[in-house]
Amino acid sequence: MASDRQLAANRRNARKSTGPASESGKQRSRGNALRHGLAIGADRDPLLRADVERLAQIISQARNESGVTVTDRHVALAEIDLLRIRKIRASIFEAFNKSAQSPANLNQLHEQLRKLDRYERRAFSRRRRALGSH
Amino acid sequence: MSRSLVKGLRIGCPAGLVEFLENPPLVGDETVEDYAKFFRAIVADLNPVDAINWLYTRDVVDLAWQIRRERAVSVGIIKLKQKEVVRDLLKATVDASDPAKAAVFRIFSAANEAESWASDPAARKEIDARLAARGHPPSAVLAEAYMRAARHIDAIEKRIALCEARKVAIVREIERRDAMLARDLAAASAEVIDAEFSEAAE
Repeated sequence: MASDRQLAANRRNARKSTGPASESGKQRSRGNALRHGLAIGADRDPLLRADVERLAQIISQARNESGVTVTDRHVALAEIDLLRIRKIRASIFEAFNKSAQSPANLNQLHEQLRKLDRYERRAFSRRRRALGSH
Repeated sequence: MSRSLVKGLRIGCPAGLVEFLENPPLVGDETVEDYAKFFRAIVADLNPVDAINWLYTRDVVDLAWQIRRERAVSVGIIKLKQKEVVRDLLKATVDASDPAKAAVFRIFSAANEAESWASDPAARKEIDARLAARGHPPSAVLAEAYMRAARHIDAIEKRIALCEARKVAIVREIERRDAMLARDLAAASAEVIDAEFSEAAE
């Protein structure tokens, strides 16, 4: 376990940190925001919660149910995530289009899209499981 | 927001769903008009009957749109690599009888000529002829460009294949749901007919 002196030193050193300095560090840091943005479910985002509820109601009607069920909410959540993922994908392509389109930019594009695909695959799976289909 | 897309969505799309479908995330020179046209064509083909099928239809549209976008990136990469190949071939095949002149060409002119090759059809024709005379016809330039871009093209093709697979799975799901809804409808109408007949028999 760290001593009080070590803890104080850690705090002092942490205050000196001003975030990533190199270009690659900044790029990685931008990636963190993207990752954490999607890792948080749409139902935990106050701005998206109302969308999830509205969509769940529409899905409930399409499934001829008398009220919104847990399944409807799962489908709506997955759907909202898919819409968010598409927006992020568009912004990744937009950034690439505006870049010099160098090999480094291309590698970054592939890497970001690869990461994004994990979230998309999960969202498709969640919706499929909820609807008991494909 | 394009009125054409909203108008397209209003035909048969559940009212509350329009807000979730009407803002396609577009990139660069992609236009809402083109997207709307694309959307309408796929809606006409898949004919979604309820909100869930509308969401699936939107998936199909977006996956197809994504494939189109990936292909555009792929074409852009090939063009970029072709320019690179032309520049390198111009440098490698320059007349070296005057070393100083050749060095100046390699350092300053080759990149400019490659730029002209990419943007000016007349310059392209002239440079193609020059390179062909030196044993590098346009087909060889293109082949070399593909070789250089292979890793990136491969990554793009994998993403396209994934989009295609997802698109096929969703279309199948729409068909399955359509068949299920048609079955339910047939069963419901049969029940109504049975009820009418039994009422008449009583």
